[in-house]
Amino acid sequence: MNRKERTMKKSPITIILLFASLFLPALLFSQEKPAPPASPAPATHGSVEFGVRGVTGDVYGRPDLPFTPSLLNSKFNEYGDRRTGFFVRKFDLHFDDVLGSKNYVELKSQSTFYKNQSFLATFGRYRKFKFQFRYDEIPHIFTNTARSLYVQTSRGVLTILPATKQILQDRSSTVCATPPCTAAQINISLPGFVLTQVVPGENFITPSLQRKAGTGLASWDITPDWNVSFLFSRENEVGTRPIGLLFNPSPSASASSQPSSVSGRQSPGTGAEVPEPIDYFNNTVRVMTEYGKKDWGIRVGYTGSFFQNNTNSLLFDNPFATADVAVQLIPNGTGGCTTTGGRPNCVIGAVPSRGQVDLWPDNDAHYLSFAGTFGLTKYLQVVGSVNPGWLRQNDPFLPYSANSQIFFADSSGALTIPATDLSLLPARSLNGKKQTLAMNYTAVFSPLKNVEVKAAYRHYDYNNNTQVLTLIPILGDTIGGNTAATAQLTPGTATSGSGAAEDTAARTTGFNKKTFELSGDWFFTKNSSVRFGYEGEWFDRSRRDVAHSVEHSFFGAVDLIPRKDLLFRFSARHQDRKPKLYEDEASAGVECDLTILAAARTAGIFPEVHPCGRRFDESARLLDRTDTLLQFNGEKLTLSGSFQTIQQNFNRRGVGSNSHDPLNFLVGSAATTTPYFLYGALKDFSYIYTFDATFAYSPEVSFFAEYTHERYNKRMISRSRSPFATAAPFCSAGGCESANNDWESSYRDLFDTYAAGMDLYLWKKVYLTTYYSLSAGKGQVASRFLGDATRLTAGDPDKFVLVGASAALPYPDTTTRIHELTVV
Amino acid sequence: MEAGGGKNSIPIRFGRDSRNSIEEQNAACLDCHSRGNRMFWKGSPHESRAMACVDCHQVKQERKVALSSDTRYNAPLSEYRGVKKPQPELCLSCHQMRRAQLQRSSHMPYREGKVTCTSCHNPHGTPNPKQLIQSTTNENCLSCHTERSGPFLWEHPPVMENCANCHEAHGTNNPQLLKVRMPRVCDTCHVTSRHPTSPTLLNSIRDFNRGCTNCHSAIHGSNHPSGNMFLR
Repeated sequence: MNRKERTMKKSPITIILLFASLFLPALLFSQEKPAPPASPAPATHGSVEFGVRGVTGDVYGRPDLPFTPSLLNSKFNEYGDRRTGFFVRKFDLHFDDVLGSKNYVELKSQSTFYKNQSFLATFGRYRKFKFQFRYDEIPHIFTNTARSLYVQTSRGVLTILPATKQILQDRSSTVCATPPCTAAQINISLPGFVLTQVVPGENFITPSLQRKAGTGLASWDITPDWNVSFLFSRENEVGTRPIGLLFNPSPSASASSQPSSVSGRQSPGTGAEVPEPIDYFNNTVRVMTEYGKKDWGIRVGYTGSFFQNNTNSLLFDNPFATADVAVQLIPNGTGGCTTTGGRPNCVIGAVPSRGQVDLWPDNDAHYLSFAGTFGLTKYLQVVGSVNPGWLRQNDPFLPYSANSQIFFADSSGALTIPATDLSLLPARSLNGKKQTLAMNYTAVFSPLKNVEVKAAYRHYDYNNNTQVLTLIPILGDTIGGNTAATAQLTPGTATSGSGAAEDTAARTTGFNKKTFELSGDWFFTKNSSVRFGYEGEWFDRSRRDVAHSVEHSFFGAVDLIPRKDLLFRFSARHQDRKPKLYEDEASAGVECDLTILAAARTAGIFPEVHPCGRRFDESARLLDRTDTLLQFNGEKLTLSGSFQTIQQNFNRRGVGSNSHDPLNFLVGSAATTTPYFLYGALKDFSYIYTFDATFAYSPEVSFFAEYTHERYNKRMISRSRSPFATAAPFCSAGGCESANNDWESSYRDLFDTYAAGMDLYLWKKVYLTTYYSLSAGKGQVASRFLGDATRLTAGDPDKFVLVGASAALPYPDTTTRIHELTVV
Repeated sequence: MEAGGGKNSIPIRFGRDSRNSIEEQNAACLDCHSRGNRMFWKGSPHESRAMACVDCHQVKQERKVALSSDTRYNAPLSEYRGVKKPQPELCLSCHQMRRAQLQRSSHMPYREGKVTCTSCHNPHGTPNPKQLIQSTTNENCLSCHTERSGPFLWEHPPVMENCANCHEAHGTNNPQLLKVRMPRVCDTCHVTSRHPTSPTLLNSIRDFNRGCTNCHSAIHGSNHPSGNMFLR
C-alpha cells in the first residue's frame, strides 16, 4: 500500500477534522456586532432515515457455478452497497444562527458508512461566505462470478502460477497421437480441457472499481456584487476491470503463415481477458471570480485537472510459453510448408512469453474561462464566453515490443537490436500538446413584449500540436527473421493485411466547428408560442475522410396552453448534412462511381477499402426529428403522453460523393432489395412513446404509473472483399469484388418500461411508498446476404461466397428484464 | 392585513393563477438570485420557453418529506432545498424521453444517486450547447473520465471529436453505454476494411467474442509505439 492509499484510508478522520474546522470561521466572526434577535427556531432541524432491509428472490442462469450466487449480486449492487439488516440511508441536519451568529451549518449524508456513502458539510452565512466539504464514494461492480488465472505479483505485472502453466503446456503436447501437436489440434482440444479441468481450480475475483473523492469549496462574497470561489477536489479510483489483451501484437501474428499445419511451431494462444489494475488519482483545481450588477455580469475562472495513473503499463503472462521464442523458418517442402512465389521458407511468428500493453498515461489539462452577460438595452441581451484549453501528456514510452526475440536491423543491416531496446524509438516520450478554444456568443433581441429573436454563434477549435513521430509499429511478430520468407515482415516495412504500406507516422488530427443559429419566438398568448429557426454548422477536419462539411438545419416548435391545466408542445427539426468531398485515402483515389470502379478493376487496382464506404459521422445525412408532448395537470389527476422520432437517412443518391447508381443487383433473386448508394450505415430510426399518470386521491394518498415503449432500427450494408488469396484479385476462393458478396446487418432494439407505485402519508408522521418497475428489452442483430443466389456457378466472376463457414448469420437475441419492487 | 392592504396590493403573485407575467414573476426572484449558476438565465432555452422559477422551485413552503428509495430515482447530496421534486424526477416531468433511458441496464449511477441531470447540465442556462456545464460534450465527459483526455501518440479521431458518436450517456441496453452493440458499433464505420468485411461467425478470431475491443482495447487512444491499431 503506498502513501496515497494510506491517505485515503484515513479519510473518515479527515472528514471529522475538516468538518470540525468549519466552525473556525464562526469564532472569527463572533467578534462582529451582536446579531439581531434570532427568529423563532424552526420546528425541525432535519431528519434521519434508517431502517432494516431484507431481500428475497431467486438467482438463476449460472448452473456452472459450484455455489448459488448471492441475491445481492453485481447487477443488484452495480453502483451500490445494499446489504441486509440495519442501515442508515440518509440524514439531513440544518442549524441556522449557530452560536448566536448569523451563520448556518448543514450536514447531510447518504448511504452512511457504506461503500457508496456521501457526506456534505456546509458552513456559511447567506450572501457572505460558504465553506463546503463533500466526500463521495462510488462503487462499480462488473461481476461477482468471475475467475482468473492471473495474480498481480507486483504493480502492473500479472502472472500465472507455474503449476497452471505447466498443466496447460503439458496438455498442449498430449492432445494428439504423435506429439508435437499442431496448433489446429491444440485449438480443438484445449478449450474443453480449460473449461473442465482448469477453470474450476481458478480463484474467484470481483472486478470492481471504487471511486473516492473529497472536494473542498470556499466561496466568499467580497461585496454583494463580487464573489470569489476556490475549489479543490482529489479523487482516487482503485480496483480492477476486465480487459481483453493480446499476447502478440495482432491476432494473426500467432497464426502466421501456414497456420495450423506445422507441429510444435505455433503458440495456440492469442490473447486473454485479464483483470486490469486501476489505481488513478485525479486532482482538480478551480478558481473563479464573478462580478455582477442587475443588468450585466462577468465571470473569469481557471480549471486545472491533473491525472495520475500509478500503473502505467501491464505485463501479463502467456500461459503457453515460458520464454520468448524467436521467429521460426521452415524450408519449403518440409514440416508442412508449401510456399508460393518461389519463396524459400515459411515463417512462424515469434512467440512472446508475456504480452505488454500501455495503460492510460498521466496527463494534465488547463482551461481558462471568460464569460459575460450584458443587458445592452431593454431590448437586447448579449451573452458570450471564451474558453481556451491546454492539454499535456508526456509519459515515457514503452518499447516497441516486450518480446526479446524480435530484432531490428543495425547499421550493417544485421538483425541484432532487440525490439525491447528503447533507443529504437524516435523519442522517449510524446511531449503531447493539444489546444482547444471554445467561443460562444448569443444575442437575444426582444423588439416587442411577445417577440424574441435569438442569434447564436459558436466556434470550437481543436488543435493537436504534438510533434509528428515516425515509428515502426510491430504489427506481426514475424518481424525479424528472413526477409525472403513468405509473410515475412521487416522492421520499417510493416504492411497491412492488404499488402499496402502502413502509415507509420503518428500524425495528429484536429478539427474546427462553427455553428450559427437564428431563431424567433412569438408568444401569441401569455404562455403559448410559436418558434422558427435555422442552424448552420460548418465542420472542418484534418486527417479524416471529409475535410469540409456543411449541415443546414431548420426547426420549429409550437407551445399551446389553451387552459391553465393543459399543455401541448410540438417541435420538428430537419437537418441536411453534405460533405464537400468524401475521400478515404485507403480508397487509393478511386471514386465511388460504377464506371470508375469498373476501370479500376480492369487496371488491376484494388483499394484497401471500398471507395463507396462511408463513415456515419462524416457522410451525407438527412435527419428528421419530431417531438410531441401533451400534458394535463388537474387538481387531482395528472396525465401526460409524448412521442419522439429521430430518423437518420444516409442512403442518399449521389450526395456527398455517394454513388449515382445503385451498388446492388436490382434484378434476379435480389430484386426486392432497395437500392443503396454507399457501404456503411444506411439508416438509423428511433421511435419513443411515453405515458404517465398520477392521481392524488387525497393529500395523503396518491398513485402513479408510467409506461414507455421504444423502438430502434438501424441498417448497414457491407461487402465481403478478400482479394489476396490468389493471383485473380477480383474473384478468388476468398472473395469477390462484386455486389454478389454484399450483406446487410439490421439492428433492432425494443424496450418496454413499466412502473407503478403509491405514496401514502398516515397521521403526518408515517410514510409508506411502494414502487414496482419492469424494464424489458430485446435486442436483435440480424445479418443476411443481399446477392443473387442464382449466380453461384463455379467460375462465375460474381460467385457468392457468403455461404457455409462465411454465412451471414444473425446474432443471438439479447433480452434484458429488470424487475424491482420496493416498499418503504 | 395589518398594513391595510389586500390581496391585490401584493406586488407579485406566483403560480399558474397569477396575473403577473412570467417575466415579472422571474424578475422578483432574479433581483436577489441573478448570480452564480443563474448568471446566464436571460436568453437561456428555459427562459425562452417562458418557464417560471416557480415551475421548478417553491419558496418558503414546507415540502412533504418523502423517504428515499434505493431503487427509484435518487439524487446526489445537494445544499439546494427549494425544488419541488428531487432530481431527476423534476427534469423528467418535461423531458420524458429520458425517463426510460435512465432505466436501462447500462446506465450511469443516476438511480443510485451519484450522478444527476445537473452533473452535466445547468438548467438555468450556460453559454454552451445543450446547456452543458463544459464547453463541449467531450469536455463534459472528460471532467470525470480524465484518463481519456490524452493527447495520445495514436488518436482515434471520432473519439476526440465526440464521445456521443458511440455512447449514449443517458443509458442504453448495450455494455459501456454503447449506442449500438458490438461489433456493429465499429462496423458502421469500419465496414470495408480488414476483418469486418464479412459477417464473421460468432467464434471467429476476427470478431473475438463479438467484441472488437477484446483485442482493440486501447480504442480511445494508445500511447504505445506499436499501438497504431489500438491493440496495446
